[in-house]
Amino acid sequence: MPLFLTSLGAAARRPAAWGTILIGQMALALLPALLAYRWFDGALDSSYLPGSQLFALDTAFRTDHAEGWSQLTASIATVSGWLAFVAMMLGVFSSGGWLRLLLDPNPRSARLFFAGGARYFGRFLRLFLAVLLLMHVVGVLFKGGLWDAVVLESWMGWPKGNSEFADSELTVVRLGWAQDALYWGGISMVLMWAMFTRTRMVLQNSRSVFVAGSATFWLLLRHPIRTLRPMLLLMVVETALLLLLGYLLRWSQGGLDGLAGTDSTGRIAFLTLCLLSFAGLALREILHGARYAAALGVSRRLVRPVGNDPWRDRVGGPGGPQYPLADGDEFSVVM
Amino acid sequence: MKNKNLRAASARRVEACAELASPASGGFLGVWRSRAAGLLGLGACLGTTLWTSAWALQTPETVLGGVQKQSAETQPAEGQAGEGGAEVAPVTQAGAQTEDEELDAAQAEPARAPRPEPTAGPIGATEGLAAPFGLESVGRALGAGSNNRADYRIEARLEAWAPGDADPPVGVDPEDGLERFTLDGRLELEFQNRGPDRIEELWFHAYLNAYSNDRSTHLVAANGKLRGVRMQDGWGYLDVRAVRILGDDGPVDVTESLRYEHPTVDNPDDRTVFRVDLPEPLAPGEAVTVELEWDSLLPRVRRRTGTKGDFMLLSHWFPKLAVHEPGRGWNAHPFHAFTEFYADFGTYDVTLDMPVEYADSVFATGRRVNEVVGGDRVEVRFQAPSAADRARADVSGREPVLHDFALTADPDYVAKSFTFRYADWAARFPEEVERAAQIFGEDVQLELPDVIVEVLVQPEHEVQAERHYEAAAAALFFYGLWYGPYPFERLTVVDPAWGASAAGGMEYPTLFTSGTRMFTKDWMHRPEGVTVHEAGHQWFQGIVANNEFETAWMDEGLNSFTDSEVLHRWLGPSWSAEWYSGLPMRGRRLAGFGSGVSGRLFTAREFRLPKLGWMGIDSRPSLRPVRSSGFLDWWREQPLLSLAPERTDPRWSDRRSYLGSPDRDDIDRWAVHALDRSSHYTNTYARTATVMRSLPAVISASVPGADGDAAVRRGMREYTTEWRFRHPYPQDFFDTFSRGAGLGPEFEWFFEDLFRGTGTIDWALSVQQNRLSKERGLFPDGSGGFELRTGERVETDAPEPEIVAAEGSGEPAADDSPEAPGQVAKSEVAETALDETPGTDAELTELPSLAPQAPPEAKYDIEISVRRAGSLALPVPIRLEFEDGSVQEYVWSRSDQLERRWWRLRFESAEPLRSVQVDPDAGYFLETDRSNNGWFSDTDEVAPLRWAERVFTQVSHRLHWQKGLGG
Repeated sequence: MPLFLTSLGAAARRPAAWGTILIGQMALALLPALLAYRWFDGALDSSYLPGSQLFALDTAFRTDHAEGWSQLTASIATVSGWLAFVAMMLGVFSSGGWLRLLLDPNPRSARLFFAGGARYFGRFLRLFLAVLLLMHVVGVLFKGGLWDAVVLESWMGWPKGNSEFADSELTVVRLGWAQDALYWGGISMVLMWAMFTRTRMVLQNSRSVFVAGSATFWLLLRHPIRTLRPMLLLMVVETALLLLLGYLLRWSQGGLDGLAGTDSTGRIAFLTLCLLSFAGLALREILHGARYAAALGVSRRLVRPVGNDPWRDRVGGPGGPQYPLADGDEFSVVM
Repeated sequence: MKNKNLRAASARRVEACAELASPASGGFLGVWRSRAAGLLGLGACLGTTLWTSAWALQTPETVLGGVQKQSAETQPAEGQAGEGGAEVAPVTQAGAQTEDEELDAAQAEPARAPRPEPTAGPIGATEGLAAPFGLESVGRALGAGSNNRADYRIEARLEAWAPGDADPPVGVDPEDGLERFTLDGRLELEFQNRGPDRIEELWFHAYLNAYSNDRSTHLVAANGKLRGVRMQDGWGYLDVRAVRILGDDGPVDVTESLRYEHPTVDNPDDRTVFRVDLPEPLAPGEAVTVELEWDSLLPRVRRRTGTKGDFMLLSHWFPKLAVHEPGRGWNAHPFHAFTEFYADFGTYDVTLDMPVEYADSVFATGRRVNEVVGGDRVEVRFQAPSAADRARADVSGREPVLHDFALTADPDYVAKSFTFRYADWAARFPEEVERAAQIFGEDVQLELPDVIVEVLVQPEHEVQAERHYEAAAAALFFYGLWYGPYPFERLTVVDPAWGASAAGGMEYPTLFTSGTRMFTKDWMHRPEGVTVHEAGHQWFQGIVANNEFETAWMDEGLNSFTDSEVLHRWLGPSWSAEWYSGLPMRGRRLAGFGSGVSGRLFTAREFRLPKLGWMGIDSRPSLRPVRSSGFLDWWREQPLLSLAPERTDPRWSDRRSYLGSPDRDDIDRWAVHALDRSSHYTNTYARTATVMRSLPAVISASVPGADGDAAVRRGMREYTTEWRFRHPYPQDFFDTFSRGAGLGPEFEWFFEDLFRGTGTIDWALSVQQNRLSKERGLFPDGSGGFELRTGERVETDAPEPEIVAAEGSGEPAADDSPEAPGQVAKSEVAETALDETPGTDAELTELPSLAPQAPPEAKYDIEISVRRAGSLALPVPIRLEFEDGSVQEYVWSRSDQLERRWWRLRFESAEPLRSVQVDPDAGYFLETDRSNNGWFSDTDEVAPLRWAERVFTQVSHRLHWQKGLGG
């Protein structure tokens, strides 16, 4: 079976990981959602015909509540900013959890997820900073002054990179797509590199982000097909599933249209909408885990096992010497 | 050539300076400027022209001669100087009227409260504004527009110059990298004076000079930015070489008398208005033929006119005669950024000599009648209106004529030709045809002639050509159905080239520019919205040609009103979209994600680093890991899953724009006198549209049984028919419209309050509905004593309506409270004025037949109150709907609203209320806040959850992506 499919299965069979992350992520998103609920409850109150603002907020509503709405969105934006930081920390934590669970033959243990998250948090946090730095570099290359100077000004011959000197909109659109695609590709590469680096750090129990990162970089260069293929396939799968869900969701939203003045409350359509939204979020998280599973599968074949003594870490420490029962067995006997 | 031009220009500039110094510097009505203003102007003017005077070599006598001559021409009427020497002289240009007549005219000016002159303005529009001169506004005068005629024959030669070519034309900066064009032209103008005045001089527009420098009135008013771009290069100009009056005795050169004028906005750097003297006064009924020669450099298009690469859109590209109005003299305003055009009707015969690359690529007002290619040149001739148009009988009985000529050329154009056929559209909208027939009657011919619609699009927009046509055809159909047929055989839709979008969205006779971008969808109303609007201008300003400088709302506002109606009927609401790498996704983000410095930090968009001044780096460095980029944004936001649908009704969109600036200026105000650009645009476009759209509700609420919509359509039809190929002013519109709509003088307040006032209105509804509690306590027993009630309701055989104190007035209730025993058990309609005669202060009465039916066993105690905020008072219906489906409707009359700012209704009912709505049919687009216009017993429990879910999903997907950065 192709690696991307086995990875997908491996991730899906670990609800302890994606379920926990999903709960955490949804708990974060609940805060702005509650802000919105409270505001809408007050704004709609008994002033509007039931159902009239269910599918879309009409022009008059948006106009009359523009000020309140603006305040609400500003509040949500502020709260979301803080939540984004928490989410990134959650990511740093959950990546260790995912890897720990994927390495474990008993995938249902939430305890292992937290143990893995805690164990690798410090080193993955350092890696996270490296990721931000590399993303900035990608931005400088494709979205900054360098792009303007090299591509727009020198290559295209547009003074000061001003696109109004272009002959046609098509030229500008194509260049924009190329730029966006390169930036997107660059960012994706950085994130994939980070994923393989984390996997290597876990497999080799490495603490050095620099060493692991450099080695991963070399690995990606040496084996671009073997490393990229499962990731690309997973991305295709994710895109296809999200598109499918998206169109289902749009269809479901359509069920909320035209209910003003009718007896229908739109509850069924609304619940369907919620279900599809939840499915979308869960799907993304499972596919995220699948990437780790794929990275682990690839790394197990390509990354040389650590040459050190597997007993070294197990002997001594609190509780006395520990002896594994078999290779790869997480159980141990404490003497 | 250059030196010669400079000398001539300098001579004229010095002359203009001298005029400023003179006490009698002329404006379009012959301005009597104060001496102080003249001296100040002289100083400023001399300062800017010092260098040219060295070239000019003009003697003082020459200059003084000009001054003396002008003084004689523009002698102010005696007794018209204002206090303290400030001028107020409404002197028409010399010749036609005696001083008494002029004074009579001034006194006949209605007693409209004089507007305070702005003392300063943030945008330059009012800065440096000349002191009042002449009749600032025609006020309530009827038929004040011109009836003169101007027929043009123009020959022009265009030469291209590209960077790298030798000998750049005068005014071209070879380093700016722009391709440029020069245009040398010659025109013959036959002007017929059909007014009652003798004319001694001719005033012209040279609007191309608005783009000659950044101190022109146009650029100053626009803060140097045209369509969002600061104009720093690509300047253009128009320089008149010669002016000759052609007569039987041969041409008379009047070039020496040419003077640039600065009426309305006193700006010596502006050269958009000039005048020449006529050798002989032109008597009423006489005609004169004028020959002009000019050189010009076409500007890089930044607004409306100019070139970009080999694309060109040329409007106001030739010296164009201003308008001489009866009693007002020459109406020749400078080209201001807030305004458009005004010109006499006539015909155009234009021959263009252009580089051969433009063969088959030149399009213009009217029809191309000839094209000859010879060597590296192509000669193209246009006739506007075409011969067929001129031969066609217009519904007005007048000759179809035009008041402008624009042209466009681009070798890249993809030209697609379509034919609008009325039958096709009538089959698509039979109910509209039926309704129009019902409203206008059998006598009105609704069928419209075929029109060839030529669509010129850029190659990358070729797939949108048919959508442009559809939009133009929708305008041809609906405007034609409502306002009379489009009178010409051809209509050209122009899609400007990339980088020339500043030429887009502008109307000219038989040709207009639209504008689009790739991947737009019709559900966005792009480009349909702008195309319908610009096509609609063929009626408003093209056919009914108001003075756009003074009454911009008469075309923009009435057109905005109509285009939204067309879009609403044709396409319905538009859908909002978010763009990802130039591709639209239907829906809207509901909330932002990270705002301010902390937001950028926590979402990893920007980490500000310490200043690195010690390294010689002045700018503050920052780390920007996450940037906005189409594909990445799409992946991050998952728009299919997270966007919320958003629809916009174009009619309500006008209201939204109106509320952006609802009470700063009145509608009927010169654009240059508006507080700012925003106020001008709001009043000119959105507020006018909103007012017009609210009028049906006013009529319906004022006149019982009246069809307000039909009345408004009849009024508009009357206006657009009567003023076809004429120049109406506001009072003409009010008068003609009212006549057509069947509105009597009792509706004058509407135009006065809405067009010449700044009032707003907001009704606020409050409803209390409680179950009646059981009666407990000691109650009058009817015999002077008390009886104890312990919770059981006591019914009488014939309950008397209980009269309580009138609320709001502080006085006892009128004794004429509803006498409907058995109908109203305990009802009090304190301030309910119903069924008033429009325009009269109706008595505060209640329609008994409409009073809530009070049942024998009332279970609910209901109190409804409506408050009015704002100074406007408009009659409004209030509708009550009960759970059993019965409906009661009241009208809170205008007179009652003027008397009291609130209305209250209290009664008991066996049936609970289901809803109460003020303006239930949503006809009052003027309402500033509709959120408090309705009350419903059932609340929507799902909607808040639904919108919270959308926010939840949006935030969740973004958090997921942010989480991915961490691992």
